[in-house]
Amino acid sequence: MNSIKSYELHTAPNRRQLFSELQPKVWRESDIARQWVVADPEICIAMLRSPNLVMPDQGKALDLLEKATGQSFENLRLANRFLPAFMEGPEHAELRRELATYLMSALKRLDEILPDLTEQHLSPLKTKGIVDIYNAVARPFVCDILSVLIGQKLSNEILDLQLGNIFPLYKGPTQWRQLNADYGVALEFLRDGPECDEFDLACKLCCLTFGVDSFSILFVEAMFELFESETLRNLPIEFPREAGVPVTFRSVRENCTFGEYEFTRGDLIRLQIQATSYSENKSHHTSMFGAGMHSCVGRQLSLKIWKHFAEGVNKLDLKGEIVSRNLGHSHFWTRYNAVEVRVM
Amino acid sequence: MKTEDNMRVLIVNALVDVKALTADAAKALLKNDAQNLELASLGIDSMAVINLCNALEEGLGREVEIEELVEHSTLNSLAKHFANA
Repeated sequence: MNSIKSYELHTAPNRRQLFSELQPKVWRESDIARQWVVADPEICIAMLRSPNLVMPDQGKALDLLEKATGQSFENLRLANRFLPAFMEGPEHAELRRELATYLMSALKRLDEILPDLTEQHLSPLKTKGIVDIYNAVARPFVCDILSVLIGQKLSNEILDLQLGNIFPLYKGPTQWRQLNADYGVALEFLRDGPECDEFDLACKLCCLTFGVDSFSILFVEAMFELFESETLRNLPIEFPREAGVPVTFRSVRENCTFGEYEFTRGDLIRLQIQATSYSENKSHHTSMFGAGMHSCVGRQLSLKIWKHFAEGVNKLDLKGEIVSRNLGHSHFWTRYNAVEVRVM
Repeated sequence: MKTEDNMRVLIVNALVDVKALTADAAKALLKNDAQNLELASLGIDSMAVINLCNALEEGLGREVEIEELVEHSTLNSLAKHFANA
């Protein structure tokens, strides 16, 4: 088993090298939690596509929590019904179609203003000196993008909600309670906005749940790598370098085998999707948006935004260095407090 | 006071609460301080782990993360960890 803890992998320094050197790349990390870690890109993709693996049953976890605590987790129950990631079967397909239509329509609105928006938010990098690429560039950019997607101006309070914490099954009761409260705030914010039907409300909640962390990672990691690496500094940035969702989870529905590893019904799998973006096999890179029935519905939208962002960054011909990187606490997202660079 | 012995009792009671241990097995375990228990040997599933975290959190009065169970996977090591945390 690897000595590094799975919850340190997604933010570890020199991740490309670390992932290539991991031995083994698939291991059972905990017998009590029956948790496996998969950092092998090929197996990761096969697992994402497999019908034998499903999203962990959060509804059942909520049943247990409600029974044990006597409290209601109604906001999380609604989120479970609104987020395609937690659904299977025809309802899942229908919500994915609705979400795809919603995002296409939002993309049209966004397309008109993306060039100006990109230029505006990259402008702090035009001045020499220290720039916090998270707080001065990525965060306000993400805020404006999501405000357009949702049709409401996002406040800092909404941006700070950490709704993406819904994805792992293993959370302590305090975290479940906090998350339930956060979803309450998000739902109230969306209901106070322009009138919309339940499908639109679900789509807006999806944007808030996925968008804040994944867009932040997309922008910050690309800029970070640019400032960090001598070899990349003068190269144009092309395809995103880091998965916006570094980690996802699956539960084993039926006993199955992947590579030389046997998995038993009920095992929990931590899939380090980010491994696909570090792979030397370029065909793996497209799977950084996931694969199979739960792949990212926002892929096209993200790549469109990325295209504008990359063009804007490439035009700047940046030179500089990393000053500091201060990360927030998360066992599966990369969250930033501040990331300072010196533009030269 | 948080001693290792107190924490052993708290963990064993939590395991009884989530039906991972019978009351008789718990009594036998607590009678013999030297007897350790590999938590994974109880064969509990992911939902029972969630329940266990809940029971431990109520007993301790602080947040319990799954990683604490992963890193301290026996009764005695977990009791020591809770006593010192």
